Amino acid sequence: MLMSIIFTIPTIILFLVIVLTYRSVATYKNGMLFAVTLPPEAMEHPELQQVQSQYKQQYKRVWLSMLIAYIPFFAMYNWTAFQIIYFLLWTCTFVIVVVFPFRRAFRATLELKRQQDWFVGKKHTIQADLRAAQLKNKRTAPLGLFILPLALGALLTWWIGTQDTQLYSLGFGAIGITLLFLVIMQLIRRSKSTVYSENSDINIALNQSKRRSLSYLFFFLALIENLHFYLIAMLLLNEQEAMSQLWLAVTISFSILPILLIAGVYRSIQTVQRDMLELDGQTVYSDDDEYWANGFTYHNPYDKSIMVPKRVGIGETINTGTTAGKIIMGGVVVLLVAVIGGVSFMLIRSELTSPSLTITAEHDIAIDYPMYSFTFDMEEIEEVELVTSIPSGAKANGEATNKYARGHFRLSELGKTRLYVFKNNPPYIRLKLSDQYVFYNDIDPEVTKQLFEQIEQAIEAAK
Amino acid sequence: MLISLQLDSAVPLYEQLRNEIVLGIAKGKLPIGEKLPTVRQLAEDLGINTMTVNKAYALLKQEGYIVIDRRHGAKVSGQLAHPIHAEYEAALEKNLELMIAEAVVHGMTHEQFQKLCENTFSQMNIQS
Repeated sequence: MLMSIIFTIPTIILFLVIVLTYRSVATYKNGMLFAVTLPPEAMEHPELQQVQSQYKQQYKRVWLSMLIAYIPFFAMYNWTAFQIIYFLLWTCTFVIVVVFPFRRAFRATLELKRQQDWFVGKKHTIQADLRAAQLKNKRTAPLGLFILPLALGALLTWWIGTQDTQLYSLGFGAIGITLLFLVIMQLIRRSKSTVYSENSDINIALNQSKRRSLSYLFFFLALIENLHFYLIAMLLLNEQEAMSQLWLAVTISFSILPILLIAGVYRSIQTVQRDMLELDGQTVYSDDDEYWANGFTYHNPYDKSIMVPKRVGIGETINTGTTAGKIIMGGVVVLLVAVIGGVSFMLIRSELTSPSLTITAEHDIAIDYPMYSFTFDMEEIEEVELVTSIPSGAKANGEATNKYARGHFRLSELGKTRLYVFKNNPPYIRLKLSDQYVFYNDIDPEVTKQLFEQIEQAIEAAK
Repeated sequence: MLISLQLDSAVPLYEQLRNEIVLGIAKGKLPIGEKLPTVRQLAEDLGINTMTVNKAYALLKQEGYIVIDRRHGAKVSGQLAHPIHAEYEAALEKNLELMIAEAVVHGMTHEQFQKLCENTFSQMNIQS
């Protein structure tokens, strides 16, 4: 049950982010309502106000029903595989249905805009501020700052190596994420300056301050994510089950930090923009509606920028009109499908298959199980015993539910151990090898006993 | 100063860019000696091909509006208020002839045209 609660932490984070994002589309800000650019006078129109109130009703219905739909998740705590699949299904459904009220409101608003001819700004125009084009990066954080998180990543990798060489990939992950942020920083530096106003000084100030804020944001994110990988390492290196759950909860909750940081920085960028433009009054408008076909997707083959500020939510979105944008979008979709599909497939397979142990003709013991198969020579066996309990411990890399444990674990008293067991189902065959232990049992205790005798006999015969 | 280019205009982009810069200089938004962005910077910021910007800059340089220094980049020329070239005056007269012909055919009077010219001239304000 505790695991269910820990798994719910990312659900809460996701739920809050999505609910808050889709609540903000219903207010008129940055000259837009439901991701459609409108003049301020349009807000007085009764039909538009109706669209707003209808949206608020529908959207509330959606998140309330999704909240209730999550409850079965807790009821499934004894069937971990199905619980996780339900979680994935719930998440996908939520992300999809929350868009429906938005699309309806978006279409209605666009239709009204066309009818009332509320167009704002020129179409098919490209603009640039000559001074901002030259001075946009003057206050951006120097790229050299990233040496710090890279060094941290290298230090982390080395330290992980001293603890357990199997976990090197964690260190590489930390370094990889830092490099990713570095690449993003470069893209931001090279992106075009935004024209906010007719006033050049304002354009320079706003472009410089946004780039400065974002560059320091990514720098801190790189540092924080190295810390995050350290927490993951602590989770995987520890040997006590109770601490395991604590580290898991800490690692997952830690992700709220980058989210809050990003939201905070973008909020301050928007405030600075709004304040400066209010004072100045010479805001430049352009009507990009035709490129935002769905309200939240941007497709403009005439625009060379790969990323543009989002209309719904915080941050930037991909321009699918560019080749690089298409590749990134395609890559993200493929990754998502592969991870969700792959994980679901592996979970179902684990529920339906069991490990099998055979003694081969070459005097090897072969344990067969998807992803964690293990074969070793019988000569490596120092001890073999039939025991009635397994010491507690933590999972390093494998599968562990209420019913079974398969894979690499770290047990107190014994250290590195491979488990292929049905829990709470003695007896267990315990094999001591030179560098690790192996526990194996069958769902039928009689079969376990028979296998044990076979192994003993095979060892005797070999002598 | 802001540059605004129309993607669906009959006038090619490089010409629009050249026109915008000339207007900018005349109206004082681009003071004499002001540095212009490099070809690559401007092309990146407008999202157009560097060749287009190159063409515009080359044209401006040829006509004497800007100077391009290999080290410092492009600058608004300091030599603008120099005596008018005979070539330029001939070309101007030819353009005016056509414009005034059209205006006259459209029924515009001498005074109206003069007024229009005065108004337009008063918007010009070269800054140094």
